[in-house]
Amino acid sequence: MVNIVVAVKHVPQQDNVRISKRTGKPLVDLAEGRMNPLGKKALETGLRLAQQDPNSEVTTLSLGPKEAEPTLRESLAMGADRALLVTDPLLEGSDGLGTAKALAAVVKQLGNVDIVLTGARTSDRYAGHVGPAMAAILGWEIATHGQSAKLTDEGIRFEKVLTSGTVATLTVDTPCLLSMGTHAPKPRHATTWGVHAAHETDALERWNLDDLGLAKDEVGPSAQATTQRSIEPVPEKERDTEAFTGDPDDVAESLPRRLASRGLLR
Amino acid sequence: MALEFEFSDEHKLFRRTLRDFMDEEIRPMIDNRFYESEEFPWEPVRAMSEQGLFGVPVPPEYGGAGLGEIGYGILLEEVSRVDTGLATIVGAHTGICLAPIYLFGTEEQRETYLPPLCRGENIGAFALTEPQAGSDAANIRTRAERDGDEYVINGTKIYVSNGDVADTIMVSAVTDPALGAKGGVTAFIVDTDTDGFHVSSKEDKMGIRRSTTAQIEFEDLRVPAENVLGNVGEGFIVALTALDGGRATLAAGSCGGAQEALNMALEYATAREQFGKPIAHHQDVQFRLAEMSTEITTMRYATYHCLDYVETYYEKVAAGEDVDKSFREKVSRRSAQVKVQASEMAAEVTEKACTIMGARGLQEGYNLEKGLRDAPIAEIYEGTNEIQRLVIGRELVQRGRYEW
Ligand SMILES: Cc1cc2nc3c(=O)[nH]c(=O)nc-3n(C[C@H](O)[C@H](O)[C@H](O)COP(=O)(O)OP(=O)(O)OC[C@H]3O[C@@H](n4cnc5c(N)ncnc54)[C@H](O)[C@@H]3O)c2cc1C
Repeated sequence: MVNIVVAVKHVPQQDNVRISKRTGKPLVDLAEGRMNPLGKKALETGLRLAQQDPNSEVTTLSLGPKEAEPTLRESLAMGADRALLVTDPLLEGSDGLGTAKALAAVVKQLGNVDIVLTGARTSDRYAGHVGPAMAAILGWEIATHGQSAKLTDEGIRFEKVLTSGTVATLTVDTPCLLSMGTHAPKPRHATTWGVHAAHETDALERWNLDDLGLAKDEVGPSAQATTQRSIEPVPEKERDTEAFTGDPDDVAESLPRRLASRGLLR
Repeated sequence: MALEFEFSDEHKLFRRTLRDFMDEEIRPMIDNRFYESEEFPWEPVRAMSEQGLFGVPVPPEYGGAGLGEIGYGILLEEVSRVDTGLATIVGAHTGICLAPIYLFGTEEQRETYLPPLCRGENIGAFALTEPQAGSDAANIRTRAERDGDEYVINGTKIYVSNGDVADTIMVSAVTDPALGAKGGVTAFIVDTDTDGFHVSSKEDKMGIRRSTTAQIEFEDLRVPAENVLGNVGEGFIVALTALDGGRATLAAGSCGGAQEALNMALEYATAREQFGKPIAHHQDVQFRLAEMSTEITTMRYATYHCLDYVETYYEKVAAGEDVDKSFREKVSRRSAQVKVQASEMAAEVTEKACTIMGARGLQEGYNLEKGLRDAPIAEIYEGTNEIQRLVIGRELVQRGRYEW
């Protein structure tokens, strides 16, 4: 039996974050939110892992306000067996570390978890550190930015696409945390039957801070490890594409000179 | 209390997943093959049935998705955005075959027929229209004669959507010619693998070409008496009750088709520049777009409000409860009103989109040209708009005052 937990965040529908002029903080509209796209890919990966072993269980987990419910219901509709929403006013003021602590605490409380899956990053914060921090807190192995994961006798076979474009295959022992990146498979569509079943009143489990076994000063604003001074839009970079044509040998020979003349080589 | 009007979380998630599914999986299958032939589109139909789109309003205990009439309206709206023909396939299957079996079926009929229909393994159809009985449906002649434990059916039905591929057909036939429409017509559930069933021809239509329309014949076709749907002599009640809901969901479909036309026009108008600026910035074009969007919004309100009534109405019918006459009349009137208004609105919006798109609006292979072919259909089927007006008007005049 494989016990899989997938952490999914409910994020705003729009990727381009608007910043409040008054507070300097991002304006977060969760009422029209959606499941973090890479979290959805992590869930798809979890559901595929579960298909390899009929006894496995997939639990989705989200830390967030009541508005996050649709994301968890969607996870049930897609095929998760259990969905757990952790809501606490104190957690809302947490940074990435606090979030990781709380999520790790849930995993400990659940017990016997073999694999935690997350998206490599969220579409609203883009920090990408919650997964790794969770693995560190749990003291588990970690593999990040995956394109696929499979159960094998040796452990989990994890594939990731490197920046060079080649695919690296890792074998990871359980318990472990795996984060899934953009190359992971396209998530399935929840079926109509799933949508209905996910809206049974008792389909969701709700937890708060008391259920986590964490002290109040371990999470929340007072426990922040990072301070956000300001958020500013990054000016768009100008991009240019140039193709050098001609005899390949000649082009290769002239390449250092041409790059240097454009200030790209020193 | 404020007037509440908001989709439930369940319906919101349904719309979102459905829209993604239709855009990502089905839209790429909508190619230009339909110009050459009117083949039943098994590929998208299979995918849609696996997605659970063939039993949306029916409760889970019979294999459906349990999303009610509002869910069914959402279904037709979203499917129509991608293809009105596909919407007609699901509509004929769900609204006028599945729904009456659920609403009037015995427990045994429901358990036998609904699960395979809801899974889309069986395709449903509805056969009322005959050569001499179109708008004048009371004039049907298909005859069902009792013979021991069976009925023997003889007759011809035309314009049967899904008729060439259907496994299960809801057939209206005359059981007592003396009584005619007033107690002489009965509804039957017919399995098309029964001896005596033939598909005699298929129509070649201008629009909704993915939805096939067939002429079918019954030649001494025998059905067991337990396949009577509802009571003997109450066939029109069965058909009309199904059409009451069907019309309102058709209106939702029209809203979907209109949105698609508006979005196409909008995309074109912002990209196309003439006289130095995108045509969307010319006031006449912008006003036209504004009118289109306003018409769609008002129509969607009226349609879903009506579907809310239909849902209540159907819950009562399915539970075998008595329905207040004035409530039934209200649902019937409202659904006729939204059907007329939405189908004409969609045709108009599509024409406006065509104006905005200039030559591209009429070009084969552009989706708008398909929209122009498809939109008028909703003004004809499930009772022409003239017949709807006739019914609305007759009731209004009889009553002598406006009724909300
Ligand atoms: C694509 C398509 C799919 C269909 N699918 C089905 C199906 O699945 N099952 C089924 O049973 N039927 C189906 N129909 C048939 C449809 O319901 C009929 O076409 C419709 O009821 C009209 O009948 P008719 O075409 O014979 O027109 P007619 O009744 O001949 O009417 C012709 C014109 O005269 C008008 N008219 C008639 N009587 C009056 C009156 N008293 N006052 C004012 N105007 C009047 C009509 O409004 C219309 O404009 C389908 C039709 C189409 C086009």
